[in-house]
Amino acid sequence: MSDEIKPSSTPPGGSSPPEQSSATPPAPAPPPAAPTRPAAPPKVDLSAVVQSPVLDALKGKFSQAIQAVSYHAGEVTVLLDKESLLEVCRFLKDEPSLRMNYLSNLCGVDYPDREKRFEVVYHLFSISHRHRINLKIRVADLEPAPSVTQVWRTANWHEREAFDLLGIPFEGHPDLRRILLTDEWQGHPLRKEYPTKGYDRDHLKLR
Amino acid sequence: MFRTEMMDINMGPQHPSTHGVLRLKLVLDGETVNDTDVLIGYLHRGVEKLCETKNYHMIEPYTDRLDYVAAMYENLGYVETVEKLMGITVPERAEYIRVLTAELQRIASHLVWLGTHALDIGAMTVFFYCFREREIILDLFEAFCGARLTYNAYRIGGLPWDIPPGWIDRVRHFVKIFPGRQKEYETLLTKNRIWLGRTKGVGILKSEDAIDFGVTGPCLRASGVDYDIRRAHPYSVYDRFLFDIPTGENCDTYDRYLVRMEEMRQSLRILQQALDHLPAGGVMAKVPKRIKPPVGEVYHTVEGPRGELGFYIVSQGDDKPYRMRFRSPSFVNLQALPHMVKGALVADVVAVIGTLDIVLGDVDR
Amino acid sequence: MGMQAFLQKVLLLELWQGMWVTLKNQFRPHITVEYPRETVEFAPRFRGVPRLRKDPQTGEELCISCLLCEAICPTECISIVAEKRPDGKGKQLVSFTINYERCCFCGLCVDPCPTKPITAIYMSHDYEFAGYDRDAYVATREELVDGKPVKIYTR
Repeated sequence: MSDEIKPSSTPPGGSSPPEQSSATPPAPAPPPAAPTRPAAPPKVDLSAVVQSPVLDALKGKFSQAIQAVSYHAGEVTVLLDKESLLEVCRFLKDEPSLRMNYLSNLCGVDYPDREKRFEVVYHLFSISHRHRINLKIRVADLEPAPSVTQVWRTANWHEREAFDLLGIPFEGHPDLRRILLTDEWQGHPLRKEYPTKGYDRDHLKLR
Repeated sequence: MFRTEMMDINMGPQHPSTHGVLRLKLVLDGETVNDTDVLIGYLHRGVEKLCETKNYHMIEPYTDRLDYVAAMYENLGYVETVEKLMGITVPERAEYIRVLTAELQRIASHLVWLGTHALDIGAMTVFFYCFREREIILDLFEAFCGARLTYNAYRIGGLPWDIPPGWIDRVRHFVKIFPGRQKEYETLLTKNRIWLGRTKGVGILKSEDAIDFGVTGPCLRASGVDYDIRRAHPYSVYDRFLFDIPTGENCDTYDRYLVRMEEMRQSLRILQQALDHLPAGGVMAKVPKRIKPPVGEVYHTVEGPRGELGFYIVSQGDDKPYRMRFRSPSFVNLQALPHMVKGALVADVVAVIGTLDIVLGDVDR
Repeated sequence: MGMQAFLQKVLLLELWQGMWVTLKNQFRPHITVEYPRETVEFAPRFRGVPRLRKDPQTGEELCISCLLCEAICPTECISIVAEKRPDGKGKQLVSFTINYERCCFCGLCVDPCPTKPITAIYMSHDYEFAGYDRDAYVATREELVDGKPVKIYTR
């Protein structure tokens, strides 16, 4: 048994001569013929107001609960009162003309500078009517957010994850415990003050 | 006279048929599953936290590592979300090449699913057959982007490279030979008595339960709901292709098998159309070197092989995302597992895990 | 039981069918290769470990130490030290180190490299880099140009 030193399988500069290197061009390939480049796309107004039947229905019934409405890239986001969230969700799910029966995503966002530091975002979708709406509520640290597990069962794990990673307690959740991290974990990693880096870069400068 | 009690059994994290590091705590009454607790997080790498420290270019390689069986879709969803956030229009040729690679990836991912699912249930040969064809696709990807598993194949605003010479002919060859190969799998499985016995009536998920649990993808369609994001919210250029959305009736494991087999055929149809109409032109839009999306937030979904792949990005006008959230289909679909195996036998749990087609890198992120 | 099914049972037709499939595959050429004696062919774009290269015509160093690859690397595996040229024009390399332990082979470092027509940093076709200690994974500037020596296990 012996260790034999062999030169690397690629001879220096040999196997990748400049002809082959066309596979990895320096910049993202400026094509030789200029006209093939598409013309600069028209400037899109990202925050344009879009029509949404869901928002109209919400405005009609829960005008008190709506705090703000924002638009971005064709999406409608409604900021709601925390207290009326459950009622709004039940309405959106059961109203036959809306039927938002599918909770696509639920997550929390941390804004440590705000008085109510957490935002819980709900992305709703109606499978039969094919429309979407995003809901939002704001809660302070340690302030419980209402759980929507009674409305959509899929919220169960999403809320557990938000509790695990951000520390938002959900009121009325049937089984609120950590999901991704171990039960003994200290802290909530997705909070902004939680450190990201473990090592510094000294180990790179070995020589 | 006899002392009878429930027995707790740990299945996983190191179990060959849990497809990774999934741990199930089964409460058994004899051999019947009474209750299931799904314990996940063994592969949690904190990608969402990590993304907050990286700029928009750097995140794409990280998305490869989430769903490593279908990394093309993670790339596609991510770059499309950033493009939507910034309002970038991608050149048409790039969109078509994205569709080509993505649909090839769907076939490759379904082949992994079929091979491992059949292997779990006891059919060894299918596994080798499937990986034989997957190899062709991986070779195509290697020729296109240089990697076989973690592609990093797209860039925000288009593609880093055009397709290599001769690639189109190789894809055409694959499209030609694949239907015959798929028939081989079907002769092995579709009317196989053991396969029918192990999959028919197992893991029933009614359509209303499926929607309530947020289950998407082939699992939802096998429950009879024709919800496909490529049709419901066409992204990229999917609104230009003709394809059918297969649905099932019996909501069981066998129907999910049939739906996925049909999906591979539909993917071939899309591939054929994309090959025929591939436009000429550049593949990269004008994108600033430093990507700084405007203040705002966006939630974008693409239809991955496992279901709805969602990306939620909050931008504060910085070159790093303020919050990045991956809505992974495996994570949400896995939630329905306790419901699907309640009252079933332990051996059926293996079949149901296989049919849900989870990837633990995607579940734990 | 019909006549056909009876014959099928007596003559073991399905068994012979299976045997025929096996027989056909017995005389097929191999599709596996005997690594390490032979290796598979790579696509030209294959992304192995990143390496540096010199100008093939003049043999000069191509890297202009612009630090763009260091800035875009998602795993921070590249570290560059550069100093001002003695003649005051631009910068020159002092050291260029890639930690292959951290490299994720994404190829992002090649994208922004400004040297034309070929990039100074490129994804090579090297893939054999198992080592016994962590030092073996830190490639210096010379090793990046010439290729890291590979230890081959022989019996």
